[in-house]
Amino acid sequence: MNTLIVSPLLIPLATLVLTLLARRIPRAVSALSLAGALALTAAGLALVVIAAQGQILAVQAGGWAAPYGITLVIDRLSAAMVAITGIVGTATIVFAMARDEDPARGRDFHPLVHGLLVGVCGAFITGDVFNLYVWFEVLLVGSFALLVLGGGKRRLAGTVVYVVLNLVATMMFLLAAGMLYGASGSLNMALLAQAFAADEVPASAHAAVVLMLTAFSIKAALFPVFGWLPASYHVAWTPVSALFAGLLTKVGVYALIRIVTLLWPDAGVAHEVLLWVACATMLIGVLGAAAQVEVRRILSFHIVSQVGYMILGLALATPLALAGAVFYLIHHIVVKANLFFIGGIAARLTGSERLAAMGGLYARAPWLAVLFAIPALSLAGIPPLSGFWAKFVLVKASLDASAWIAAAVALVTGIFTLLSMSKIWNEAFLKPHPAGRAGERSAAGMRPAVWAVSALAAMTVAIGLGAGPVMDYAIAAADQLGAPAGYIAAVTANGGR
Amino acid sequence: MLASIGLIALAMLIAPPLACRMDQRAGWLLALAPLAAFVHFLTQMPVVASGGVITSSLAWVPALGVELSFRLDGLSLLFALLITGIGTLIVLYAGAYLSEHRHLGRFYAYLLAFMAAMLGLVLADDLIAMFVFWELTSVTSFLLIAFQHDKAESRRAALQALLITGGGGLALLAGLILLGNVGGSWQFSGLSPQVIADHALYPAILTLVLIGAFTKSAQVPFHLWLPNAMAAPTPVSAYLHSATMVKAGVYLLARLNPALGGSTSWSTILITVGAATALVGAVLAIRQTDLKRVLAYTTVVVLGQLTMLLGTNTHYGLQAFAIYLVAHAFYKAALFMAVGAVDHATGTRQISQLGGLMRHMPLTGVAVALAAFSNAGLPPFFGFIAKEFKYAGLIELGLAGWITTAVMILTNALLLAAAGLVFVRTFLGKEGRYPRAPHEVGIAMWIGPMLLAVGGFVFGAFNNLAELWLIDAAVQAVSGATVPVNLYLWGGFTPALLASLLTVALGVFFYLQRTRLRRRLSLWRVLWRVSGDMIWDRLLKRVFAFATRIADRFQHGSLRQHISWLVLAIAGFALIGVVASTGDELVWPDVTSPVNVAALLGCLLAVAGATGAAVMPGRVALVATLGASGLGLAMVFLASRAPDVAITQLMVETLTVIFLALVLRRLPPTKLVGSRKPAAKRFHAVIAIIIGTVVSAMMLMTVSQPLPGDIAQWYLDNSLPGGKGANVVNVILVDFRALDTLGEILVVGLAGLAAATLLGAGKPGKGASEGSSDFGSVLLRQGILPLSALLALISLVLLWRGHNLPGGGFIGGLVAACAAVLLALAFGVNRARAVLRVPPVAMLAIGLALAAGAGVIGLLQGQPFLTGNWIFPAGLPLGTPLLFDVGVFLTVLGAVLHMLLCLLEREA
Amino acid sequence: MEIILSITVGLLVAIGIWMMLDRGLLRVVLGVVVLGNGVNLAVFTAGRVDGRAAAFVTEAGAPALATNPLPQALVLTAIVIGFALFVFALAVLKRSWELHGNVETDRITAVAEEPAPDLPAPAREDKA
Repeated sequence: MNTLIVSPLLIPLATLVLTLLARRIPRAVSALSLAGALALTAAGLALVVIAAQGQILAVQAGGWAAPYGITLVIDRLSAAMVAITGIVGTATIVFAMARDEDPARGRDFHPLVHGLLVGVCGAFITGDVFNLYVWFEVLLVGSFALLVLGGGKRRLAGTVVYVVLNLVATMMFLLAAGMLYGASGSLNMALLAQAFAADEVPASAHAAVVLMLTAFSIKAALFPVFGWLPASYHVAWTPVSALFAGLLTKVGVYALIRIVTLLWPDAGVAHEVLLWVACATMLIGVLGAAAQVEVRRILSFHIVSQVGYMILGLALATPLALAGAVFYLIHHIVVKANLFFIGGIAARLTGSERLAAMGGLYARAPWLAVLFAIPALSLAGIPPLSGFWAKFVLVKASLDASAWIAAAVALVTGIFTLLSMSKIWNEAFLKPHPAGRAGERSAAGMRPAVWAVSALAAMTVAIGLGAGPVMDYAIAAADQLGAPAGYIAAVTANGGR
Repeated sequence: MLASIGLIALAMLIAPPLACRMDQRAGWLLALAPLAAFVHFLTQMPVVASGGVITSSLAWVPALGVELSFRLDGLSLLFALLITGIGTLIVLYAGAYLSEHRHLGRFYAYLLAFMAAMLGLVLADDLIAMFVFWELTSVTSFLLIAFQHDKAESRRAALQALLITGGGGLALLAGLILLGNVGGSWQFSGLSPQVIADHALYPAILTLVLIGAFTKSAQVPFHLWLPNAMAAPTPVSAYLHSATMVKAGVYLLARLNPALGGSTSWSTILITVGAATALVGAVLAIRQTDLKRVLAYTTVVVLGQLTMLLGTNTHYGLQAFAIYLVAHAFYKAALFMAVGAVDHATGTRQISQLGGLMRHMPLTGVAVALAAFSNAGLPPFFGFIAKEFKYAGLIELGLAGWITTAVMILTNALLLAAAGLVFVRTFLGKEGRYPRAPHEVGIAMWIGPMLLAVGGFVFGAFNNLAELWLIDAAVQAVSGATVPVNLYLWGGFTPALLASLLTVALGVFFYLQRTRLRRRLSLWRVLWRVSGDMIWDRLLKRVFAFATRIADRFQHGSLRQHISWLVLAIAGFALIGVVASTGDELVWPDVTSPVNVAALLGCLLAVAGATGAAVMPGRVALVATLGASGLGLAMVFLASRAPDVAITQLMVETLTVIFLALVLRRLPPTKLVGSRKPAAKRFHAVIAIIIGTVVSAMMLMTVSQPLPGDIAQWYLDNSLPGGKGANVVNVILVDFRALDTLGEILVVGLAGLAAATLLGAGKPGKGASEGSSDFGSVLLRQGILPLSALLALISLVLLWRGHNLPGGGFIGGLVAACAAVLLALAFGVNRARAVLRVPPVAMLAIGLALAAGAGVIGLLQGQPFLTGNWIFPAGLPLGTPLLFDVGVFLTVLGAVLHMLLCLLEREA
Repeated sequence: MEIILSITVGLLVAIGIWMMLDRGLLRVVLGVVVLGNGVNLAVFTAGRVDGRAAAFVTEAGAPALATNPLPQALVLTAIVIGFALFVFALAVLKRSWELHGNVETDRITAVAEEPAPDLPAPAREDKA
């Protein structure tokens, strides 16, 4: 059990080391990388199976008891996040094996991906605020490196924005973590939760938490601090931007969910503010997307908009709403990464990602049309795909809570999402290619990419048709989130030296 | 029931490969699926007709109370028969109509998918399951409308239909959720009308559900998508836009009539909107010159009338609803298919070019004649009964009924005129001018219209048959209470008959005077100018313009604007946090330690240095002042008795300056011209002051009270006994909180990899082979060798003693890196690499492996990750934390070296 | 002393942000350093600076009034992370100078908002 809990850290770390050592043999790097990602997926699924039974697993790194050593915690939410991270990571690595002229497809890609995965998984399983900061930095520097991979003026320009704004965010996080320690004397989330629940912390601790949540909001790309995302995601190499789109903002969302549910389990001012932020994020994001004329830019703005849905679930704070947020997280990661992948394939086949310069895919590559339709419709919340259930639960939770405006915004956002998706469909797929047959590019060597995309699309369908078990899991996860006592007990009961 | 949906879905899956293999003959095979379903439903008729219901259910998302429950009552049976029966004919028809199309297989797939969804919609008893199928019909109809995808018109129409029906669908979703919440059940059959009607949310539910139904059934003002959807191939129009999809909205209204109907608002809205729709549709129908569009608008008329009939909620009204539903489905599907056949055979659908087709296409002509009679409401066709009952139902309402009856007479007369256009104008009279020679179509194309048209006659003539098997049960299902049903052709001299005669007379008049009528209508220019389509286009344009404005706020591409807004937002949220958590009073710290003069000086130096770096123009000054600032910080740390932090800060500062110097050396000497604009400067200053003030305030809040908790003391107490080290800070780093450190060296490693790639990009310089010219003299080079060896030794000492005295893996690694830098600068990168033997990347990897491996040792012994394990050879404590520190050392060294060597290789 | 340090933190943060709003990328990168220094000092200060002796212990136990070792360890970690990030930022700076020239930062970042270029045609068409 000790081993399984840290395996989300150790597996990608070991893969990173091995791929670095084997970096002169490209085939070995790919094979190791794939094996590592598969192992991570397996570990994540094993954790899900264990967590599904309802027990919260906690371990003290180094064996030192709770406030002194660092706690690692696996509950249903973090187990699910680790598993989904493994899945998206695997898909990314498989996709990257496809033929591509992009200079980013070099030897550094694989170790960096696994470095990023260490950070992502670490953020999901840690129970310590400062340790969370460290994992944020790991995934941040990994993302810097991946974003700029391959170089070029445009990519570098996007990287400048991304790096500077994210550095500000991360420093605010560090500042907040320091203040939180200074005010409460603890960095352990469970013990902080205990102190907050007992009202034993000074006002400054609450203020520090607000600053911390602001930093997370930047990472999660909430309104009004999401500017870095649509300024940078579209410049990266396709697998990189897909990986980012799937995972990175969701780490911020996860952190928001974790901290808010632990420290402020009861609805209060913060939830009120979050509710408005969520509504604004949904609307502004989806409107921004409507103005875009490139595939990845459309998708980037939609990330923002959909993060709003998740935060809506968090802000409503009812069990059903939290379950909706969890379900949305799981569904969104798969779907969003997949859409970026498919956008990349579409660009490969048409020679551009500007909608105006694309076309003809419907007649030429019907398989791609099917593969696009699944995540696109899911994103727009069309039943019976995964996105429908996510949206349905959140709308229902809003209506149950008499949050009429939130429900209306969630629905209106849905129709705009449908508009964006049908725009891509009409322009890139239905419309004939503006350059005629001459504009069509070969699909040679794309087989791994198609595998990756097909697998994720199958997952979307499976989550939609088999929504029952997934929803049960999400509701059970939300129950754990809604009752932090269980989390606290799991950590404090786990003694140490 | 699920089986019949599944069967059709299965047919959908095999359609594309099948169509590939056997062209249009695939249609005959595929039609077997809906045919089988049709027969299945026929066999259910006795049960349902005798008042029984058949249910089946399958769990789906139990946590949300959603299940795939189906319920076959009179209403669903009626619809199911229409869907599968007409569906069978359409599949046959489509095979012939699109026989040459290269995507015929896809067409079958979409059509069958739609059929399955539609069937699910009318059979579902679960609100949410019904909604699932509802949305699926929207999506599949999108695919069908856009089938001729290379035409911009098709794409636009498809998008319009999707957005309008999809938007309505979202309102419906909200309505259904509220309905389920209020009505106490997620099954249509379990809703309790009384509770719903009395609930405060009833108006909201009604509005939302009606928006959903009206968009789907093309009621004013959402009607515009339907005529545009005629861009679809004719089989689609015949199926979706006459008999099935557009009826989904009407179906939903009928289904919810027991639960929601009965209120005044229900009746008022339905009758008003329905009447308006019928009128608008009729007026627009008569203006059309394209036969298919004429039919499209008459469909709008009928949908309006059906809505209106549901609104009456009278016995006659509900009977009329059921009769008219069937009658219309029969004749409209027949007419659409026939018009498609005409189009197929003659190459045109323009009324002005058509005429005298009877001699070329006698079979189609007969079918059209029969269907048109039913359409015109002439006895003894089913359409006649429908019309009679319509009037009877409306007249029952009293005064409002008379007004609506008048509207109805007008619209029905226009319908009759339209029917005249379709039959008389097209098939009789003089020969038209055709693009190609007309000929009769094949059996697959005329059998459908013929069967349906004859059906309209049979049901009219032998109306007790229809009553017994279909209409009675359907009416009971719609009404929710028992309604006596009795169909007849001849009901005596009633007001309804009078209205009927008036309709026929007026209709014939309209047909004969159609040219003048059209001219009259086109005089209302203003009216046509504000057509729905134009409003739609304007609306979309507005939305996109607004969206662009929003997007521009975030896509200005200016880093400074990004930073400005980000920082302001952070400050804003932080301020909210401060105010919300403290109320409005800020406490000045009363518990604080005495002033430490050295630390104060350090603070001053740090701030002064930073200020210098912020305003100094030259690069050298910039680097120097920045270094001074860092030095000041190190002073603060040292003065505060934190030697490890101070040393680390110093080492980092040194390396920072080295890196800066190396990078800046190669940069173009040009300075940026000009400075920021004064206004921008002021704005930026304000931002900086705001964030600085907020941060200071929060810091003051934080330190205003004593630090709670005993953690510090615990570390001091346990460092030696537990961690075997006297340097508590180091023990925390490599043992108590070693996981942080593991993450941290990973950051260093990854940054090293990433930065090296960037630093090493560009043209290779001669730094690779030779040393730097700054170290030109041999003497100097000879001096550097021992110096770097000394530094390397010191670094090892620092590493070793770190556990007990200031030092450790970080500091040691940084010092060792300095040694390597000296070597590389003096002798060139290649020599340095040779001396090192191990490539920096490998060193980095091994370091990470060592650090993680030191943690794994604990795991292997069943302890938590990173648990320290010690042995004491000769009393000397050796343990995994030390191994961990070696890993730190190697990672830091490897990463810094990797970056430096890559940078130097590109140096001139 | 904590008051002085708190104010110093605010000043460093303000100066760091001010530098990041400069027109040239060099000062933006150095602004990150100053901001980072300010934040590191904040974490250090949050642990209070009332200690009189460095956190070294002997068999006899900890010295009276030893400094709080935890924030020191945290700051040490943060300093090294900050350094790693700084070097990466510096590398970005160098590369952008090479590719874009020494121009205003906003002119560099505006490039990311230009329409996406067409993909280069594949080197050779394989029949795979």
